[in-house]
Amino acid sequence: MQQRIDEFQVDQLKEIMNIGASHASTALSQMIHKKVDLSVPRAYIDEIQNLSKFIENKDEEVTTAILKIFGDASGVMFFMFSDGDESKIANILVNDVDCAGDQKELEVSAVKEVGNILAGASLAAFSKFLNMNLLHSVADVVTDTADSIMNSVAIEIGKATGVVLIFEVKFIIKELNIGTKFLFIVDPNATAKLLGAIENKYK
Amino acid sequence: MEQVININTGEMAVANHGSTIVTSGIGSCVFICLYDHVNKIGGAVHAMLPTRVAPKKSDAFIFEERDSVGKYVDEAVVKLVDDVIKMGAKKENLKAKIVGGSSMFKVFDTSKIGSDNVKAAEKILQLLNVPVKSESTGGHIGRSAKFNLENGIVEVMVRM
Repeated sequence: MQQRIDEFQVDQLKEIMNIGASHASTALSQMIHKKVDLSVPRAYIDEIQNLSKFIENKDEEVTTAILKIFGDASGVMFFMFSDGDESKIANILVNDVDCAGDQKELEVSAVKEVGNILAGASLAAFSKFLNMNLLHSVADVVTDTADSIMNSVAIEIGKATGVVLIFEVKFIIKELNIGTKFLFIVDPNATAKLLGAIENKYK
Repeated sequence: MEQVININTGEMAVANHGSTIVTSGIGSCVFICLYDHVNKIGGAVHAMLPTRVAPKKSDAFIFEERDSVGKYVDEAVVKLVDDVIKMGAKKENLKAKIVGGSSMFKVFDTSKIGSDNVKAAEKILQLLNVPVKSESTGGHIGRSAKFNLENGIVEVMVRM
């Protein structure tokens, strides 16, 4: 069975994304004791070679916590912090810790943990809402240019498919002047599974 | 007249002296440059994957796909060699340079797609009898590159 995805289905998936993202933003807000605003989710469907075109500042250096999603639906989830923003968040989280070691290492570790917690929160919401079993890998933290990261993610997904579905939500922490991007890239196979789960829910 | 040609992922360009081919965001992708130093003609491609894999029939959602010429290393190199020769380069003068093929994420490390890309490039170039002059590949870092067609020099920039 091969079919194309329509606008209505994209809207359904966006709504699911919204649920996951709000859980993640609540978790972030509780962790850093700051208000976190959410943007409206955006969804794109495009060929993998065009993925980096969705990034606004291609050459910008970003720190990314990236996690692989597996279980009933597979994909990739990642949190993108602009240069310096990851330090602001890490500093709040490890403020009281007397750090004798490498500051950078501590920051990476904090960002990793943020990635773990946020992914966990959103996946738990997806799992509960859709009755699916979704798991995530440990987070990996990479600092590089935004387009290198996007292209490399695209390739990993692209081994199996030419076209991907990608969701983007921005977490805005006004108090710290931070805008973090939360991206969820879904395998085409998983797209069908997610839609099936939504359908089951409202049967 | 100096002309700068910017190529994105999955794109290729062929040009002659006076031009510069520029690309950024080479993570596990590969940027393959070909140059004929006698005629000062060359070309480059920013390819993503080693080779084409037929979509699985089980895939429920197949979106409309318009493949770009430079997406797969093997197909792209064959086309690129063809194109530079059409432009006036001599096959025996051609030399290649390879940039990229890093492995960016540890979570995906089992896949080794970056080194697969480089291997695919080396293999197809060998098959076509085009020697690889130099490489800047591997590692865990993203690169961007500038290929000067006046002298065939490829400048590689990394984020530090």
